[in-house]
Amino acid sequence: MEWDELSELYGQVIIERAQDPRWFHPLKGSVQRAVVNPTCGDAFTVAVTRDSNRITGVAITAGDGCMIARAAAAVVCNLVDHQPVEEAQARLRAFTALVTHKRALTTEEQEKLGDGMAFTGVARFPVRVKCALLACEGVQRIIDSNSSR
Amino acid sequence: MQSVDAVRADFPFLNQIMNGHPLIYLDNAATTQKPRPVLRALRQYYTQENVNVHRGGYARAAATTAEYEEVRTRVAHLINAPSAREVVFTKGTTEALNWAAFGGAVSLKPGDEILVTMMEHHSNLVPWQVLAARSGAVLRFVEVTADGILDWADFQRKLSARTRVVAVSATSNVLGTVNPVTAIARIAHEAGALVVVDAAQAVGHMPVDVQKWDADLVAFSGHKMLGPTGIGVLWGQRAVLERMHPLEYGGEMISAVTRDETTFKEVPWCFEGGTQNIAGVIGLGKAIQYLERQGIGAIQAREQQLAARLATGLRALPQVTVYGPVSGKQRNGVVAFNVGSLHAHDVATALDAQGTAVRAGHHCAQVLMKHLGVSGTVRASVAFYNTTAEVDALVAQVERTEAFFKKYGMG
Repeated sequence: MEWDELSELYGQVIIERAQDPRWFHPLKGSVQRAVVNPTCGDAFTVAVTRDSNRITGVAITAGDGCMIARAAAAVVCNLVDHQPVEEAQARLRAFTALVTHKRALTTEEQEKLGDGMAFTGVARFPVRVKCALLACEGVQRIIDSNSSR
Repeated sequence: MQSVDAVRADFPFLNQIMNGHPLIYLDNAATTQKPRPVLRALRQYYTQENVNVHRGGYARAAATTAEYEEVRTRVAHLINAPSAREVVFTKGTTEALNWAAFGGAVSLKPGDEILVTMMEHHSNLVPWQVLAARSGAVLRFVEVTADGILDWADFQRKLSARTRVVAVSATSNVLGTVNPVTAIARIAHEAGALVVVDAAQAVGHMPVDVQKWDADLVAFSGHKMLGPTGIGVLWGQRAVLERMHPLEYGGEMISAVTRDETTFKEVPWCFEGGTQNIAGVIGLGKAIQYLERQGIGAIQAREQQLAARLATGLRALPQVTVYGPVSGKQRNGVVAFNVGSLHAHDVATALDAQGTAVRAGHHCAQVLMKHLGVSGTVRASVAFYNTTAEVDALVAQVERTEAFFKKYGMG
């Protein structure tokens, strides 16, 4: 039934995260990146601060999007904040794998993703995968480009 | 027109399941479905008529070439053009509008002005924006009223002797507004401006008479009028086409080539370089025949009736905002709306789960979205093969969607 499938996608976690303002604020001294989903107009500016070892701050400094994009942005920020760089990268890769159903996650990855597991249902609606990965890709690019220096 | 059941039997696409429900296809402004005569003609071309045109000296080539050129005449007849020689085949509306902007129909200098409207699709905005930037001309926008119609007073204010181009959509792909092209063209010509019309949502959905409009250039797409993708038309007044230059040079559009120089074919063939989308042209011809058999006036009446029913039904839902003119004023088959504060994409996914195809986003009209104060809208767009049951179902589905998200405190 459609409402069961929709409930899988729009579970309590996703709806709560979509309304969570905690990660939506300016971030001083950050490296920023604008990300946009041209299909629907979701657009964020993601921002990351780090030292040599770990992510010291992450935020969405501007923009808005659909429920899935907002919830995923909040979850992604929570996943990487104050994590060692390698751990942050691993968590983002695991989140991406979950959303795209590219591979099964290990038990350890599932535990680390925590609320991120609520996005299991996104792949059922392929058009929404881009929404769910929007902020993730932005944060990943910032972290990866910093790491290669 | 045939009964809607008989019509629907002509469109095999309509008979399918999406997400466990019979598909309700309400995204016709994005692309329309193809009736069996068009599908048969495409297959027939590739299995029995597949030769290049304007070349081979054998009987089959002559026959296919005649078929191809006959479509040019059909197009001219459909839009009441004085001559088939004024019909140029393109790959679509976007290409046609780009040729209108960059093909020499008008040459601009710093201080000249181009006037577009706030409701334009990107394809009738971005080319003019780029042309303005390259030439030093100024791009200005005619405002849209709170009702979603063109602000006539603003149009008259902004039109001046400096205006060299007025580019306007015949009918909006978001608001549903039908613009008074004839009146626009009359006063634009008095000001000395070239009139370019984006008719992508108009041709095949309402009677279009380019002589009555007296526009200079008109662009439209085959796939939005039951034809294949990859084929469109740029119609132009002969004198305008004559002063344009080709945008694609090479085979087929030449008359004679030497090492030092080349002469080009006459209008319209000088604009059709290389091998064209022959199958697309033939499919377009069959689409026009099908539309004319149903009756363009009857098609318009049905689409307006369905859209009015949809808009009325949606407006009755307390949280729903419907954009554009209220029913009663002339609209096309497009109904854009939002549900409370829900993001259009979330609404569209809920409708998708119920088997209904609508579009969500900015609809290639980001300037209009900003003007409406939204990041996007849901857009339902009917065709004459949709039913009142489908329209009513969408309204009920929107209501259920609202209730679903309200449970979680969203909306």
